[in-house]
Amino acid sequence: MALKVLNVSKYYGTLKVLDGVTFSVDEGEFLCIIGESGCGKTTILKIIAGIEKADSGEIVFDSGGRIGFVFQDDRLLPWKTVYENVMFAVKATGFEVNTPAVRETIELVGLSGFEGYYPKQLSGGMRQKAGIARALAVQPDLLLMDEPFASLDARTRERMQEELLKIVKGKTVVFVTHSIDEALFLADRIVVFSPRPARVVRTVEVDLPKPRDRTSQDFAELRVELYRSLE
Amino acid sequence: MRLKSAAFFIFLWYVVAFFTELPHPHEVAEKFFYLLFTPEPVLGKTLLEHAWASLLRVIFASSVAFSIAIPLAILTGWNRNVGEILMPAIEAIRPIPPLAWIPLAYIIFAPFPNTVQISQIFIVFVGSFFPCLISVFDYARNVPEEFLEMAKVFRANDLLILKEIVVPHSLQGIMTGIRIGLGVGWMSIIAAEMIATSGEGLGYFIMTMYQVGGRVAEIVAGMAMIGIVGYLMNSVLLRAERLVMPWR
Ligand SMILES: Nc1ncnc2c1ncn2[C@@H]1O[C@H](COP(=O)(O)OP(=O)(O)OP(=O)(O)O)[C@@H](O)[C@H]1O
Ligand SMILES: [Mg+2]
Repeated sequence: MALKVLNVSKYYGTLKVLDGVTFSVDEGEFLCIIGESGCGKTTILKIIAGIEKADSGEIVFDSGGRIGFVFQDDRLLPWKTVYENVMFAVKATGFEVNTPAVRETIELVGLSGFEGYYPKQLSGGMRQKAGIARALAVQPDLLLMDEPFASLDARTRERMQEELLKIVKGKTVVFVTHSIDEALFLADRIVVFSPRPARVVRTVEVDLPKPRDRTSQDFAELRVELYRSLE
Repeated sequence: MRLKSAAFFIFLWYVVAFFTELPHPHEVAEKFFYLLFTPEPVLGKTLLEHAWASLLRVIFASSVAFSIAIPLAILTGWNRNVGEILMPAIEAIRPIPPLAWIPLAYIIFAPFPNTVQISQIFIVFVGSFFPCLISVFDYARNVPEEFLEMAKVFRANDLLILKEIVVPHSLQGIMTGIRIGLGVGWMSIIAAEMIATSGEGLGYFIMTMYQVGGRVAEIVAGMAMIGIVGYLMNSVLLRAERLVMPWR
């Protein structure tokens, strides 16, 4: 087990956002959190990342606690090139500045040739890739992804999902989304949050082999099941 | 467009000159180009030399002002505690026009042999310091929360955040601050030179031309020089912004 979230509750002022959230993530597992807008998905990621405090409950890392974060918006620094943005995270983490490793990460996400581009010169999909490269460059024990593809068009989004699975193969990932199809395509396991205040209402194992066929019968059946559980 | 605007301006000038003491544009232009390289007899200096003298004072005084204002603004903008102590005091001093400092400057700098020179530098310092400070402060204080959160997620320390987020984000404010500061400094030096004898400088030149008997063409030629230098400083700095911030 890589991470345990134990009975975590959180208020913003008097607004109860998380209500005893409990789930765990296995080593090398791709876990999706799904839930409606405003239910507290970003909040739980921030608490796991340690930039927001829980009012009660516990976060336990069984292996190392180094975190890579991919944001809902890209959060690239506009005055830095792709390469410099990735390098920022490397320096922040306190790693040696290692140019070949950074270039390799950029290549991994498919941005080689664009190292010297500023965020403004990139498409939305490329910006998210740069954000993924930045998160991977710190060699995270745990990769947290907060609806990284929400702003992309449907086709780009599907392509990014396919590429993501190749890129993060074997890594421990917690991926937030409110798209059932996205969760079904990516996840080994899906955790369903209730509307705010969030509780875990269901956990669904997705046993289909990857890469998955979005048009298959099994896929369709699971989709129906998930829709029901979100009602 | 610019040509039209210039033509219109010159036309208007002729109209006004026709009814007033104002010299005609061609008289001023003639005087201007003559004095550009030929020393004017009363002070024995060319217009270019006067402009250069004023410009040097401004550049020196403003550089000192900027090298204090920029770090101070970034620090106070970034660290709210320091900002809260300093900014109200600064807001209170800021509205005092630079020229109002002259008498006080004379008294403070009286012990020095070149009181007038030092006072002039001080006036320019006051003039360029505050616009620069405020401009940089505004940016340093408003670094987007998202960037700071991103930095926190990756465990960046304060020095890295300062160097790679706060300063670059404030660069627009720094460039604007330098541009506005130099502009105000330029106005201040001309005014300061008019009040006290300084041997050279555009303000001193204009005032002298007035005192030796209302040499209107020389006066307006001097004013034109002030405008041209100010305009050039501004456009050079605007151009520099694109070089300094290639990501925009
Ligand atoms: N810093 C904050 N201060 C006060 N309230 C906040 C803060 N951040 C989030 N909230 C509130 O907490 C609730 C959950 O927010 P959160 O961002 O976790 O939702 P989400 O599930 O990520 O939504 P979405 O899918 O739209 O991104 C919202 O009602 C929001 O208004
Ligand atoms: Mg969110």
